[in-house]
Amino acid sequence: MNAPFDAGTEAEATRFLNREAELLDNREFHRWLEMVSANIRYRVPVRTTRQNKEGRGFSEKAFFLDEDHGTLKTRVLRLDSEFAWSENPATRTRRIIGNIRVRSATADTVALASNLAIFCYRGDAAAPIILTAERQDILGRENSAWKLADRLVLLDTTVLGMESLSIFL
Amino acid sequence: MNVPHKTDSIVPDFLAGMGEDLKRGLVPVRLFNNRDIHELELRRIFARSWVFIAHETELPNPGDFVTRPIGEDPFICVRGDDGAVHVLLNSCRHRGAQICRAEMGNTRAFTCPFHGWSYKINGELAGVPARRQGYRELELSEWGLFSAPHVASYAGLIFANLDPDAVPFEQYVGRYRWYLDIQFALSPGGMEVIGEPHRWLVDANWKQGAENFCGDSSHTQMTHRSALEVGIIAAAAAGAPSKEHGLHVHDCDGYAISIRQNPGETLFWNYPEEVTRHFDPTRLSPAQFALAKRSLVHNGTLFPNFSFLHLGITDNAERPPAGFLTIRTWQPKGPGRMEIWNWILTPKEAPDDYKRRAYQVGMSSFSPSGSFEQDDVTVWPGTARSASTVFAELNNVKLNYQMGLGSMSDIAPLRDWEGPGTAVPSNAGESGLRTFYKTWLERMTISNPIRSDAR
Repeated sequence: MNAPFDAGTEAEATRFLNREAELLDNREFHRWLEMVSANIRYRVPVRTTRQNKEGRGFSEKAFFLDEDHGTLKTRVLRLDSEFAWSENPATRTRRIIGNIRVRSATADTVALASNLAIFCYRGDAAAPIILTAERQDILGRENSAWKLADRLVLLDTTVLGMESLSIFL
Repeated sequence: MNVPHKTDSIVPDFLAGMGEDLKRGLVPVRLFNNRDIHELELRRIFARSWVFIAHETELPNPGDFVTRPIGEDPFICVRGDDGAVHVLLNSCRHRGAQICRAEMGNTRAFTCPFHGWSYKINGELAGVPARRQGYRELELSEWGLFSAPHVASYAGLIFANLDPDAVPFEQYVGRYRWYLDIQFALSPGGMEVIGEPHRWLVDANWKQGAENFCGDSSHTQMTHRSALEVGIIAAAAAGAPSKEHGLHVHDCDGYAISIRQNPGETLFWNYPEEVTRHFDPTRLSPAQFALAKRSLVHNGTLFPNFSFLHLGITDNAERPPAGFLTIRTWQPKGPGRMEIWNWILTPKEAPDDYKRRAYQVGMSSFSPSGSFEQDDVTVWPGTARSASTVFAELNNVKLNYQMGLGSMSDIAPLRDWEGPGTAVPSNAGESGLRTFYKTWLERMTISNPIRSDAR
């Protein structure tokens, strides 16, 4: 994992994240699932406000999302329903991904961190609900295509300001 | 600690006829988003009821603390050196600053960041800076933190009551304990909270969640239709109203519970054998244990804002269902907004792998990302919106809670029901919700509704 990496790796990882964001913003969830490894581990831990000496407050046991491929697929299938009221009418999302840092890379895996801002517009509310987080991702190469193999989303908020977390982070 | 009784705000006039309305199954929509109602609720309900504040397993060690609201007031719930739990107002006795600004953790003392008054974890004032120069006559013993006058711990659940004259918790719960014991006292170790609670904001009134858990069975088919379509819950557990599976218990000393069951089967909410073998029939009555055994779903609300849901479900139709218990509080945040706090629990004796699995399944169904809960909280804000309309005010709009009321249904209550309360073998009804509003109205309109006789 400590092999040197080059600008080409960073460009490939950036292209992957941008493509993923495009699919999610466009609600092409089935196509997004094709970018996700069958062995995905996808977690969004609960966070609490702590004294600084007690760390950053990310839970090891409690999650907003703790998914594998099967549960992500179940969520996508539910969103296909016209009766999934939380997303019908859909949240209009715009994901901005930046500060991409490749932590380590080999020929077949890339570990990277990035910053994520999601602007969520619901109904006729003129102002968005904004979620920000650091993503810690591992991409793996499977049959010459990069797949999302591991994602840890570290939210900046402790109390979700939106009524439902019915989008993917 | 004195709770001001005299400063109660005005009782809105649209409550005057609500007692009669309720008999006809009508509820004024305005109580879901009204400033006067809200102010009155904080004083007459939240300052006088037994309010859930924390679970024992969140505070295993001396010095462990969590900060939690009662109504909209900030409290610290902390385990003392003697093992007792203290519920302290998070406000320095000197000049009112918040002495605890973390949400959970462990501490030996609470020291105010303003001028440095320092309190022991039992709330006593331990010291003040410059005492000899400026506070030579200050009696430390008189300036400890304000604390809730009553704290009760039942089956791991910690409740506090701000009313000095409150009835004991046992009396407050009454015969509803028969149903609570089934959820919380089935195994010797009791239930254990997994991790930290979910917290999120919903633009709906707190009563919307509280009433929902009293037995709004008929919303499942519509609100949760997408979740039913993907096959993650058994039809008997969430299916259409039926005599076979549904049971609504109402007017159980002011509370209600909804039950789905499958008589003749061993279900225990789909807990696996590695968990159910710890369920001890000697801890409950034979009737309670038999009910647990045949149960698919239990959900109820202990007035005002503590709800529970015990069920088995899965997060992927290809994996078997797993049982879990969610408990939650519906915290008011102004008249038209609430913060939901959600904890997921399993029996303490469950293997670690099962606890993790049960957490995943609980989170996947009832949490901000839950496939069921997502759609509840999408629908509820509509009622708060309707409640704030001028139209509702000008026309005194009332909502329809008539399902199953009187001759609306031909299903009679069970005569031989072994538990407390009135049990109707049908979930095509809103009797539990009517019970909730009867209790609510009683406590809102009687100035001293649940006072101890000993006063």
